[in-house]
Amino acid sequence: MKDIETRYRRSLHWYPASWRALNEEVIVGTLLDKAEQENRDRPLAGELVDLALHGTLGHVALLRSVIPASVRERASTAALGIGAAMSLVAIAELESGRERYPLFHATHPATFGPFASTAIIVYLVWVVALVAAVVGWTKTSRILVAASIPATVAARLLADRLAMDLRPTWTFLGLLILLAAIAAIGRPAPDRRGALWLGGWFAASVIVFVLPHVTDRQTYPFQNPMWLDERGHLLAYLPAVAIVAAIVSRLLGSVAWSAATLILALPWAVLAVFGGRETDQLLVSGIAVCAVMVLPLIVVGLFRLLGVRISITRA
Amino acid sequence: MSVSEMREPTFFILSSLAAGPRHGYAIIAEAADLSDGRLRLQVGTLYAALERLSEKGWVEAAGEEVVSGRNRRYYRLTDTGAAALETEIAQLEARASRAMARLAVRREGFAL
Repeated sequence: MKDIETRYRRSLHWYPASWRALNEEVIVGTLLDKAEQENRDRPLAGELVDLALHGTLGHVALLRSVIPASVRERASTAALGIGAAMSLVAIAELESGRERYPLFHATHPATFGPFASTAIIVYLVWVVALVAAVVGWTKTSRILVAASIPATVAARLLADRLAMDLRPTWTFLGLLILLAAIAAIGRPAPDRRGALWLGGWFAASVIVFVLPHVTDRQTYPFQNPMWLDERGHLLAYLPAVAIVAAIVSRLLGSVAWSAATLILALPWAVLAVFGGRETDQLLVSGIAVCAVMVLPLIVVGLFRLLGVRISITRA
Repeated sequence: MSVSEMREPTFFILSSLAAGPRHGYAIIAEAADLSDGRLRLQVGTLYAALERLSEKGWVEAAGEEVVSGRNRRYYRLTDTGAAALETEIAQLEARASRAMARLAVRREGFAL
């Protein structure tokens, strides 16, 4: 197999496996036809970016086909509210904290203008996405949160290169990236009621993130850019709360909210496992067991939402 | 997506299939030709568009063959796709006619 073909096949790993099984040979054939006509023996950068983009969108499409629209809209609305709240508090505490923590800032001179790091751009994108959703520009809002994913990676890499010591951690940014992915798979705040829910999630999240500051300055999660890494318990207890909320939602009859809540718990669970402390990992494992026990309730509910009825009859 | 919102790549993909079934690279080459070299479709973009158009029922797969060890899948325009293309062309022609009429007014001279 020629090198160019190997590289094309490797780049197709961005696509879902089910899609590759059906289309890989055909798309590789077309890529090789094109390369041959253009007298090339290596892929173009633009081709690889294009394949990566459409492969990623293929995964999103797969998710969209599995998760009902009502669940996606609710998860998207909540993720946007939470992500925007995190961003707003981060702007206030991490990016413009010079006056509050003058000594800390004095010892870390590399900044992004008046702000602590390039992450300010990501936070602003989130806040604008929230405003766009509230005024009804749902599509713009989704494009903005989706764009925030590569922007987040770029902002952090740039901050690394410019030695901005006050940059947020990958754990913090990873959380924003996962929330952005959830926010982008559905239509956030699709109607007036959705806008109210969005406002509710945003306000509640701001309170949750700010409240520890009122009670105990030392536990204030945004005091230190390393907040999630150092105080990993935040990672672990949120999935637990989400499981309880999912059960309550299911018992109250809202299957869509129940499933959406479980989806929202995923980013924290993932980060607790990969970025948390040992206790968090153990706790999340316990929570995962609980989630598996709750799952049948949710799945049956989802079938109902999709209009699927399963009946068992004696042969 | 309504017909009036048909995007340029969609228009040229459908146009390239109007004369008969084509495989992936042939569609890319013909779309470039029809657009005077302006539209350079990437392969990932092409297959994403073909998938979307297949879901809408505007195009469909028309068989596969292996040529020089490479798989080629042919696509053809469906009747629904042809109707959508005709509607789009009629709208483009109507817009062009209106613009030509405005230009005619300019040529005849106008007073402020």
